[in-house]
This record gives sequence, structure tokens and C-alpha cells, in this order.
Amino acid sequence: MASGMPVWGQGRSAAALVEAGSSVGMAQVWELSCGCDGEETSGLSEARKGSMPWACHHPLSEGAGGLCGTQPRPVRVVSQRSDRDVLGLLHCLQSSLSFCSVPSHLTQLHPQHQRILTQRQHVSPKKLWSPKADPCAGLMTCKEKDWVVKVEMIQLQSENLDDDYYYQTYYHRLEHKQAEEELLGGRNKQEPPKLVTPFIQKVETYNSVVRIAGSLGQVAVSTCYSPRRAIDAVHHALVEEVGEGGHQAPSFLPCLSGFVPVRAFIPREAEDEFLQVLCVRKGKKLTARLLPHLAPEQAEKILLTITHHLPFLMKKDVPDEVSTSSLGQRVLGCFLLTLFLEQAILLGLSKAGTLPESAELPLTMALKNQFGISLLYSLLSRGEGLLSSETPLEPHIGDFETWTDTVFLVARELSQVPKALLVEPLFLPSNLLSLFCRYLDKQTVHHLEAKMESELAWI
Amino acid sequence: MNYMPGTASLIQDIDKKHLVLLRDGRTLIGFLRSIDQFANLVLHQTVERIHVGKKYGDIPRGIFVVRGENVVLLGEIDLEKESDTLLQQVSIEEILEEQRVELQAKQESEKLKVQALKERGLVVPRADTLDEY
Repeated sequence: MASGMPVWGQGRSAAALVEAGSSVGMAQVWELSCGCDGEETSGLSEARKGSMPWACHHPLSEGAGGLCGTQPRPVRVVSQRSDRDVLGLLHCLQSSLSFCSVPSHLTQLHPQHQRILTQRQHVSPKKLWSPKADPCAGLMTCKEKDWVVKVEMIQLQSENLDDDYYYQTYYHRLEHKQAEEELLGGRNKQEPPKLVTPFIQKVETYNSVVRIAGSLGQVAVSTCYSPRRAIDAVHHALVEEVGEGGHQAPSFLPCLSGFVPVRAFIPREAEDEFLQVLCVRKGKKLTARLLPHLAPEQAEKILLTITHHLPFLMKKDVPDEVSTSSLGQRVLGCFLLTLFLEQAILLGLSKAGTLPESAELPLTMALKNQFGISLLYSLLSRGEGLLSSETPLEPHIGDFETWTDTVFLVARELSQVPKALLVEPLFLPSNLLSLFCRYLDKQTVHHLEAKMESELAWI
Repeated sequence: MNYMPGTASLIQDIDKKHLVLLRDGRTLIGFLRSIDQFANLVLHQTVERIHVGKKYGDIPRGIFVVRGENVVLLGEIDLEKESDTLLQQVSIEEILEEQRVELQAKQESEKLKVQALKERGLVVPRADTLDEY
């Protein structure tokens, strides 16, 4: 046998292979050639033909050492399956290794083996490889197969081979078998081929770097590689303040009074921060919980801010109307409960009155937003309540005009906005109609009544 | 693909006709199209074969995705030898009827057995009649 030729073994062993091929026990190891052009591929070489990826790696046994530079590298193929499978593999290999000087090794086979091979070769190609007959063949691409094999290979790797039962058992058996054959055949001692596992390195080794202080455990790997978008940024300092004070209303007061000065106007910065708080769901909930506990003045300021920035808040509110309604309930509750000074109302109304100046939209928007519409209704209702009551008011000049203008404006918008777009308010004050009656003609009032009633029907 | 001796992979079985036995006792026959590392299987042109005695019936099922843990065993079907069988194929209705009859007979005999055992004071708890869980 030529030194460079891979070992097929004596006829006996080859025949034994064919016979033993169908047994489940460990079969003889073959060595077949595979040209890998000097590469020590750690993974899988591309399938040359068909769908069988083949790995090429060096055997480390000394006998094969000389092969390295000159000959094509051997590959180990072990078959534990049926003959047909084995021979099928052979056929595939043959067809795919046209550049190797493979055929000659076949002549060294045991004649019986060779006979079977040639017989099977005629039969097998028709049955096994007829892609025309099978339109769905090749659903699993080479890449996918390689991937699965890769995963399986990784599972097989173990750091400590001494602990690997299967590895140890296999090689014990192999050695015994070869020892037996040695005795029987009287050959030179064959070295049990040493196992070389294709070393597939795990590519994505994640070194955990990200640790969030005070968290329990680590951030998930997937999150590290593709971080999710955090909530819309809220000023950190304020969030912490708010967070700490949230649970107890009294403790919040100094915090609140810190950024709500004595004057009626909140400084721009603090106002912005407060608005940012209101943009977040938690902020809204927090404010809602807080409002009943605040002193009337402070509550007033907050409410004024809200009314003033209503369009902005409503726009921000679109994804999150649920929480605003809870805020709304509280706010409106405060409207009713706190003894609202008429100045405050009128101030608020004048703010509402300025809304249309900026654009016609804000008022219309308010009607379409549950919070907005509820706020509007309660404002009007409160105003009506105050006016119709006998309490002496101290109107400023022009206040009544602003009031009536506002009412007209609202009435007009209400009649113009199609019913379908009108959202139902959190509650419908009963004195709205009387308010409208005061200022508008009967026809318009009926029209508005019809509009609002359609909302009522839903309550 | 056997890079390491002592391993088995389903990669070579792809696009071949297989018989798959499931844990619930069903027998599926189909072309193995895709696998993964858990031996989840994708079977194409699947047929569920019901065996009763010497008869069998095939119910066409289309595409099956089988979770690996539910497979007892599977094996490739030799297309040439597929038709050399002593079993007789019957229609679906007939085989379902046969199956029903068989199941009934089994249940009755089981009942009698349990009854007999109970009379002798031996109670064998059955998994499906346990109350505790």
C-alpha cells in the first residue's frame, strides 16, 4: 500500500465494515481523502455538490504527519448506519472529489466490498438523488445545515475529555477491536486514530460590562446588543425628587413649593420641568394623587399650568389617554371641591380664550380629547355655577366679555365639530345647558343639546 | 455529518421519507424537510397512519412541525421496500371505525380488570384518574 494512501484496511476489516455497518455498535474508522488545499478548517468546508458538508481536519497521528504538505488531507468518516447509507456517502464523496486521486484506493478494497459498491452505485443515484422528482427538496439550505451541525458540534465539545464517558468508551472499544484484529491478522500495530475535534469557537462571547447599580442580576445579552428605547427623557433630577416625595404628600410640599414660588407665575424652567413630568404616565398619576393634598394656592397654580398648556399636553397624551383620564378625574375633582376664586376661573378662561388665537385647533382638539373636553365642560359649569349663584363677585373690567366670548366660542366649536369626533367627557355637568340658554338662542341650544346628549347616551 | 465518531445527526436524513413515532402513539409518515438542534422536525406531505391489527389507513395531514421532545423514534423508509408489506390498506372511515372498536374493547377489558382487582383488594391508581394533581 502506498504510503500516502489512506488506510482502507485489509479486506477483512473492510468486509467487516460492510457487515457491521448496519449494527449500532462502533464501526471501523475509515479514512478518506479530501482535498483541502492546506487549510485547516475549523468549521465546515462548503459543500461541493449536493447537500453534504464535509469537514477537513488534520489527524494528529504521526503516520499521517507526512501527508500534510504533499497529499490531500484525510478525513474521518464513521458510519454507524446501514450499508446503503455508508455507500451513499461514499458515492457522494466520490462525485464531489473529482480533483483527488481517489479512485485508486477503491481498487484496494476487498472484492466483495467493491462488488457491492458498484452494484449499489447503479441503484442508489436514481433513488437518492433525483431532485427533479421532488420539487420541495432543498428547503433546508446548506447554510442552515451547517449551522445545525455547528450547534451539535459545540455541544460535543468538552474541556475535560477524561470525564467524557462517551469519548472514553468509544476509544476503549476501538482499541480493543484493533487489538483483536492485530492478534488475528498479525498486522503491524495500527495506532488508534486520534480524535481531532473540529474546534468551533463560540463567536459571540459576551463579556458582561453593563451593570446597572442597584439592579438584581445582569442585563440580558439581547438587550445589550440591541438596547431598547427608554421612555421619553424626563429631567433626571426632577424625576428623583418627584420619586422620593411621591409616597407621602406632605413631604412633597416643600419640594413643590420649591419650584412653585409665592407669585402666581411659575418660572419658565420649573414649568417646563413640570410639563415634562406630566408627559410621563407616572408623572400624571403622581400629580393626580398629590392635588387633593395641596394648599389651594398651589393647586391653583398647577391647574393653571395645565390649562395653559392644554394643547401641548393633549398632543403628548395621545398614546396614553388612560392615565390622563385618571389625572383628569382628580383635577376636575379639585375644580369642584376647592373654592375656586373667580379670578382664578377667569384667568383660566382667559387662557382658554387665548387658545383659539394661537390656532383654531386647540379648542377643537380639546373637544376631541377626553381630558380636554372634560376640563372645558367643568370650567364652563363652574363659571355658570358662580354666576348663577348669589355670591358677590368682583369682576375685573372686561371679564364678563371674555366670559361670554368664550362661551360663544365653545358653542360654535361644539356645533361645528362632527358628532363622531366628540369624545365623551368624564362627566357631563348638568348646568351647561342653562349656561347656553343664558347666552344663545333656542335653536342653537337644542342643537348643542342634541350633540351633548349623544355623549350622554354612552354614559 | 459525522466529524466525531459516536455522533448521530439527522442532516443526512433530510428530504427523505421517514416514519416518525410520537409519544402519544401516533405514527406519521412524511418527507423530512428541516431539523434543528432539538430534533424538531418539519415533515412534508405527511400522512398519519393508523394501524389496527393487520389493517391500516392513511389520513393525509399536509405539513407537520413536530417538537423534538415528542418524538420516540424515527427511521427512513426505503421507497423500494415500502410496498412489500403484509398489511392491508383500507379507507379512512373503516380504519377509524376499527380503531374505535378496538379502543372500546380495550377499555372494557381494562374495566373488568380493575373491577377484579378491586374485589381482591388491590387498587391500582391510574394516571388519568388521579385527583391529587
